[in-house]
Amino acid sequence: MRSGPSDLKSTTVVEGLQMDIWEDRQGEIVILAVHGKLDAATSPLFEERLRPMLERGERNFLLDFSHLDYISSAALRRLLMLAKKANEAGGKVVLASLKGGIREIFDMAGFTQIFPIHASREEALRSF
Amino acid sequence: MAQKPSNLIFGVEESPGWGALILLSLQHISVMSIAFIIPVIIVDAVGGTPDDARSLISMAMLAVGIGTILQGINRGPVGSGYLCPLVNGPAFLSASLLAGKVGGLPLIFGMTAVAGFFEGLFSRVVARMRAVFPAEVTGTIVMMVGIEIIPIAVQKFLGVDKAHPSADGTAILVAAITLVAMAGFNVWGAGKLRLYSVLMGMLVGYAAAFFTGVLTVRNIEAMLAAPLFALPAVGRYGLSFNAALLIPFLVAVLSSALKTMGDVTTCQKINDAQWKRPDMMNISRGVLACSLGNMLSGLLGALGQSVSSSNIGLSIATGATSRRIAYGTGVILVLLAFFPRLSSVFVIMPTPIMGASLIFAVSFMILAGISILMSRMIDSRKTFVIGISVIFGLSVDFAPELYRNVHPWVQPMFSSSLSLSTICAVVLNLVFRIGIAKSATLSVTPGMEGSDRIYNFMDQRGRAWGARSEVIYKATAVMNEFFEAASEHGLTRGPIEMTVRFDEFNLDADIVYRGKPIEFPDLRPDVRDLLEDEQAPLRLAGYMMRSMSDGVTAEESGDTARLHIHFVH
Repeated sequence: MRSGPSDLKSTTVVEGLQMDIWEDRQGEIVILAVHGKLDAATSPLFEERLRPMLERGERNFLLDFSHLDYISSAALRRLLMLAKKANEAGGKVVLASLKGGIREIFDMAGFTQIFPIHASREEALRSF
Repeated sequence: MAQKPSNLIFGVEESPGWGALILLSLQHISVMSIAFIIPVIIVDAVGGTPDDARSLISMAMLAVGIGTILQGINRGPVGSGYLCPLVNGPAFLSASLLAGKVGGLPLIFGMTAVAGFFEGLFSRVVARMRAVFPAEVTGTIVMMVGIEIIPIAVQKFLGVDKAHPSADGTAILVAAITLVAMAGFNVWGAGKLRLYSVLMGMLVGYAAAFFTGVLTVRNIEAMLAAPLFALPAVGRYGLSFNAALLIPFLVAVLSSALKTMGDVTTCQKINDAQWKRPDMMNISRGVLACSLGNMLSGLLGALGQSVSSSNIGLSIATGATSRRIAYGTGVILVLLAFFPRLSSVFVIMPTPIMGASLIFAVSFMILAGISILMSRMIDSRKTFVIGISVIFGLSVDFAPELYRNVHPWVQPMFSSSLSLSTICAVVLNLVFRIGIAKSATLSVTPGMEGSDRIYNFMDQRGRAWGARSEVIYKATAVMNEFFEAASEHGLTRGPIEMTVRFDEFNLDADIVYRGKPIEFPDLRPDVRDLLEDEQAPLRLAGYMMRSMSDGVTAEESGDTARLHIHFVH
C-alpha cells in the first residue's frame, strides 16, 4: 500500500483492487475525493486513511463522490461510523456530487436522511 | 404507457391548435419537398417532358400524403402511430433508373407496386426478428440514414446543381444565412421560435435568395405559369412488369424497409423518456404502412416511397412529434396535388435553402443513431459490427467507382452508404452471435478477491449480451452485496456458484452455496441498529439485495442454499 503527501493525489492499491483518494483542504475542512469503488475490500483502507486525521483533531470532512462508481452496504456502515466520530468531536461529514447509481444506493439505505448531501463541492463547502 | 420526454413541446399524443398544426405541417412539407428532385431525375433519365415531371410530382404528393396519414394511424394493423412522413426515397432511385431504361415509366410503376407487396410480406415476419436487429444494428442503420444524406446535403449547401457544377459563393452565402437562422431560432429561441425554426429559417433564406439573385423573377414566373387547379392524372402511364427486374426492386424495398425500421425505432425513442428497446410489433405495423404506400404509389403512377429521415430530424429539433401533424401534413399534401401553382412554391425552393435544411435535420438523425448505439454495453464483437459496417458504408460515398462494375441485379445494395452498411450490419451481427452463451457461471470463494471477479465477470457478460448498463450495475451490486455478507458474516466457507442468464427482457442470477440462506427483510435497520447491533449489517445487505432487484427468493435443501434474483431488463 502506498500513499503520497496530503495535498496531492494518492493511490491506495490492494491486490488488484483500486481506489484513488484525492486529498485537499480548505481552511479547517478536509476534502477527500474518492475515485473507484468503496466496498468491503477498499473501505477499511479508506478508514485507515482517515484515522490519523481524526486522531490529530480533524473533524470537518467533505467527501466528494463525483468519481465514485460504486458503494456497498459494508462501506456505508464505515461511513456512518466516521460520521459518528466526527459528530462526537463537534464536526461533521458532508457529501457532494453523488452520481445516479450512488444516490440510489444512499436512498435505499436511508442514508440520505443521515448525511447532508449537496449537488456540488462548492455548495457543500458553503454549508460549513 | 410512454412517458413524454421533457424536451418535447408537442408529444405524440398531444394536439397542437389548428394554427400551429397548419404551420408545423407546412414546415414538414417544406423539408419533404426536397425529395421532389427524385421524380425530376427519373423523368430526365427516361427522356420525359416537363409535363411528365409535374405529373409525377403531383402523384408523389398524393401518394406520400396518403402514406404519411397511414403511417400515423395508431389503431389496427397498419401504421406505427408516429409522425413519420414519407417521400420518394433514394432507396428506389437506382432500381427505378434501371426499370426506366428497360421499359419506361409504366415498368417503374408496375415494379414499385410489386415491390410494395413483397414489403408487406416482410412486415409479417419483422416482429419475430428482434435478435437480427439489436441496438448495434438499428443504431448503425439510424446513424447511416443521416450520413447517407451528407453528400447531397453539402452539395446543395454549396449551390451545386445542373446549372452550377461547382461551388457558388452567393449560394453558400444564402445557405449559411439560412442555416444560421434555423440553428439560431432553434438554440436560443423558446416555444414558438423553436417550434417553427425551420420554417422561419427558410423564410429568411428565401428573402436572402431573392436579394442576392439566387431566386429570380423567372423562378417566380415559372411558378405562376403552373395551372392553379388540375386533377391529378391517376394511372396516366399504365403499369407493366418484368421478372428480370424483381431482384433489384426487392433489394431496394428491403433497404427501404430496414431504413423504416431504423426510423420508426428513432420515433419510439424520441417519444418515450423510458425507452429501452425497439417495439417490434409497432415496427411491423410501420413497415406494413410503407408497403401499402408503395403499392398505392405504383398504382397511382408515382415512385417508391420511404420514411423521410430528415423530417424525423426536424421533429426532434423542433420538439413537435404529435401524430396529428402527420395527418395535417398528409391532408395538405393531398390537397396540393390538385393545386400545381401552390405546390410550385416548394418545387422552386433554391438549392442552397434545401442544403441548409438537410444539414439542419441530418445533424439530429446522426445523433439519434449514436444515442441508440450508446444505449447498450459494447464489446469487441459489437465494435466490429458497427465499425466494419460504417467503414464499408462510407466507402460507397468516398469511392463509388469501386462498385461501378457490380452486377445490375445487386447494384442497389451498393448504390448507397446506407444499403451497404445495413447489409453488413445485419450479416455481421448474425456471424458474431456465434459463441455467445445465454448463461454463464462464476465460482467465487469468500475473501477479498471475489468482489473484483464479480465486477469483471458481470462487465464482460454485459458487453457480450449488449445489455443495458444500469441493469448490469444493479445485478453486480446485488451479487456483491451477497458476496460481502457471506464473507463477513460466515454464511458459507465454501465456494459460491453464481449463474447468470440473459434474454432481452430478463436478467436472472442464481446463487448456490453450502450454508444458511440470507434473509431479505421488509424493513431496513435504522442508524442505532447499524451502530450497535452486530447482525444489523447482514440485515441491511439482505434489504439492499431485495430493494435493488425486481424479485428475490431463497430456499434451502439440506445444507445447500439457493437464491434466485430477478431483474427486468
